[in-house]
Amino acid sequence: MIAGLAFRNVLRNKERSLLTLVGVVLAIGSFVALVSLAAGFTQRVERELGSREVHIYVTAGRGSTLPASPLSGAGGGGQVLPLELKELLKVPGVRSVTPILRTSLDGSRSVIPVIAMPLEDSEIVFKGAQFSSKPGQLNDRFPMDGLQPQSSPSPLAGPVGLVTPTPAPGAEPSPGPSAESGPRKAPPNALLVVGQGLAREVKEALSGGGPLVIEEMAFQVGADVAGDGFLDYTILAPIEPFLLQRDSRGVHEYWITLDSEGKVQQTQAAVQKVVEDFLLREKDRGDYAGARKIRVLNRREYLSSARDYLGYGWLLQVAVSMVGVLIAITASMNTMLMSTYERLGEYATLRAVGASRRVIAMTIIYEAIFLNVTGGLLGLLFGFLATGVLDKAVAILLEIPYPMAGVTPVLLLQALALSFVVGLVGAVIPIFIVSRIDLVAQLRKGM
Amino acid sequence: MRILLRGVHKMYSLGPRPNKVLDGVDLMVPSGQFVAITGPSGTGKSSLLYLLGCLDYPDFGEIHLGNRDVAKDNESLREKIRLRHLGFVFQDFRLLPALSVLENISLPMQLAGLSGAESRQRARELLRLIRMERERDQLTATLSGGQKQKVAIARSLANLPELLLADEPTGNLDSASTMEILDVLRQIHASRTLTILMVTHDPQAASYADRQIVLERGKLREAR
Repeated sequence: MIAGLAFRNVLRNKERSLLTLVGVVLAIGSFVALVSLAAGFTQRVERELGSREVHIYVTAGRGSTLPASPLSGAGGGGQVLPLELKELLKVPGVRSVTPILRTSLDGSRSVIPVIAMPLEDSEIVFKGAQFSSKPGQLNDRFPMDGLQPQSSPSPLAGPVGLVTPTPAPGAEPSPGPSAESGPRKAPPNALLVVGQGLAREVKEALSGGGPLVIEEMAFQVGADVAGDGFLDYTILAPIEPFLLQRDSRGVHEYWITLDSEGKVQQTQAAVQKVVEDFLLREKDRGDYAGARKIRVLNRREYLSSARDYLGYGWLLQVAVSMVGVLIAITASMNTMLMSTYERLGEYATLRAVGASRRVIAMTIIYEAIFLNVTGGLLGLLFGFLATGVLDKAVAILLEIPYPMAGVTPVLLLQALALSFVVGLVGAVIPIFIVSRIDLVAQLRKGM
Repeated sequence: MRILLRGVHKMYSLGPRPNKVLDGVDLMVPSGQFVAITGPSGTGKSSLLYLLGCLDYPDFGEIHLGNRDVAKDNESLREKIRLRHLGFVFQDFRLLPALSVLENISLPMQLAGLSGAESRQRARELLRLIRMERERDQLTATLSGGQKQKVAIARSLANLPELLLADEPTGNLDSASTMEILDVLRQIHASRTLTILMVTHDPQAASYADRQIVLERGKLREAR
């Protein structure tokens, strides 16, 4: 009966209720749309990190641990790890040590992330990924061991910029830009693995069928890959040309895969010891001015570090959407206040016929919640639609080729809970007012 | 329900000078009596009713309903007394416009914890008593003044109260409706062990009561 009374009270002033409803719909919708960007991004990060067969990460002290993405900062923040570390990190229990360089496409598509790595390792570290061709066979194996920071001449130093790339099987041969005026050529057989999402969505825009240019080197697409997280929208490139290009200053990260997952803690400690000894030696020699600090993180720590970066973005988006929510609370409170002042006489009558203050408070709460949760439900729908629009807008404005937003069930529940809270907060002052009414004065006034 | 008032004082300070409406009122009403309280306007008749109805506190004095001094009870207890032992009828009916006739009558029963089906069943019986079964689903705004007051009386009887407090129940009605309402009150009084206190300035309405009391200058006196 009380719920029914509250519901009918909402309908008694339809115009006012409708206007409040619009405010709540906009607030909840914008909350869903804005937070979905952060939620979608976080979801992708977690999925990708979760799908990697990487147990230990060795990373430069201040480098971002976000997976390759526009927000991770192509280039990894400028700090690099020495190449000599690769062999040293092969402590007992380590199956593979994969050096990683982060970079991006040249030109207007610079937001498209590129992970440069020994491609034969990509099948190991991206364990669930589906490659259309075996990445290890795309390139001539390049001996990483031969690359040292001061190594010169490098085995590949000569051919860079001079060799015409060999097209992938089935690929159209492309003349490519000339060596004088355009990008240099990558080494022979240096082909790329392109995420399927990227290939599908921006194939034409990427290259127009010609080579892809990364750090002024031209590559051809040799295979594609489907995988979790950002992998679908990432380019995997062979690391060797970049090491030569950069004069082998180092890499951004080492991804370590173990023989057995059960010994992560023990191996992490061993790797940490190797890194500390290395840094001490470098310090004594005084010939290494690279990363001041090298972090050795297990998967959980790496994800947690990535979440720290994500947290700022999430907070910003929540803060912006909260402006809308505050406006909705004000609108709801205003509606409830007006409705309460109009009905003080009715509340006094209810008290006179035996309704307790709790029952009166519940009537007001039900009314506010009916109004706001209805707005919340419609807001979810609006938010869902707005998310699609926002996603497209962000993709166009930031030239991000992949869908960023992710409307998760948790986000929908949070938004619905928020509309509930807006209702509750909107009911607080009216309840306070009704709890203090002078019954006799109201009953004398008439209805 | 037996009513006993001892030395009840009540003063309102709405204007520049405080208005002493009840000045040491003493009253004893035996259980089951139909009492009319008359007197000029503004002499505190309604104030007395609000004190008896646990809607207001006296400045001094005792107000016993049955064996309980409700002037000393806290608001939570008084809420329960209003719900379970008292019925109210107001001059301006005070029906909830968002609810139908049946729902208005069911409301106090549902507040008292009766199920929807049970309260609707009892509300239908009360509608038969006031001969308004056909109007049960109408919103109260569509009813005449007399019909509204009958619905208000039915609502006041919903929780089988022991004391019915009626504040000018015929004040807004024409003479035909007045007669109808007074007949209903008499009929109810005759059929139940119910104490009725009716405030009225209408001598005809007062004549329906077993006992008439006049409130003048803050004091009560027997009229007959």
